Amino acid sequence: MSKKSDLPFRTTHTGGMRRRAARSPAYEAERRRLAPFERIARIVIRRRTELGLTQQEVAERMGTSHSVISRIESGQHATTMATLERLAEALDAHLVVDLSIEEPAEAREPQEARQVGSKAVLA
Amino acid sequence: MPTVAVYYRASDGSEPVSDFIDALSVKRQVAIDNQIDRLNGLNLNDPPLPFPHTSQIEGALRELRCHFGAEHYRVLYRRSGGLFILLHMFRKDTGKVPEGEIAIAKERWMDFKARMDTRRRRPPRAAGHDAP
Repeated sequence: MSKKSDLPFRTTHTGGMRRRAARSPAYEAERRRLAPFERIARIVIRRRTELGLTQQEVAERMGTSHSVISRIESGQHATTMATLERLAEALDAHLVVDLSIEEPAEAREPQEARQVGSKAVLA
Repeated sequence: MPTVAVYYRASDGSEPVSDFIDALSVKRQVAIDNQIDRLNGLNLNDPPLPFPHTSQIEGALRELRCHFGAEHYRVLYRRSGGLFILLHMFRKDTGKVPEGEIAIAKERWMDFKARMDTRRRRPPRAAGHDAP
């Protein structure tokens, strides 16, 4: 007999992340800290994939070392604006920096979670 | 339809990849969750995430190459339609992915397939049972 409980998958990874965030305010605080680095990492990976370049090739175009690209794509480290400008050039692109008064969708969270998150950062 | 990463679920209800992540420190959890999350939202015709983020292990079995600082972690996964089935996760200390880890992922994939096939073979419910 087959029941719903027999399913060989049930939880999505997104669901797993939500579960961990609900369990620990520190998780949400850390997620927010890494969010800008992760966003940049994904943009760089996507563009590098489009161009079919390796990390080493991008590094050579920038006249830098492979580890610089590796760190940016890790989504765990801050990058300077000057490096991002050189990186954009190496990826045949333009760096766009803007200020928007509209909150991006990914930054919208329940008020309660936001407060807990900022408390954890300040603690 | 965009891709979705899901945890393989054993017959006893455990989800080995999620359980592995749960046992890590919060900083590690977030860094690794972010990296796994990159499998979400891809288009079906997109190429796999490029090296060094993923690479082929054997046939359709691939590895997501995660790290936290100098610590290396691997998530072995396979694609099933629009789903990425996260089969196995471990910390990698040696140069090559050990055969034993690959065997675990393969075994779980066989189990996944067998249980999906069992569900597909289930006869439909009596006609009209759920009719409005």
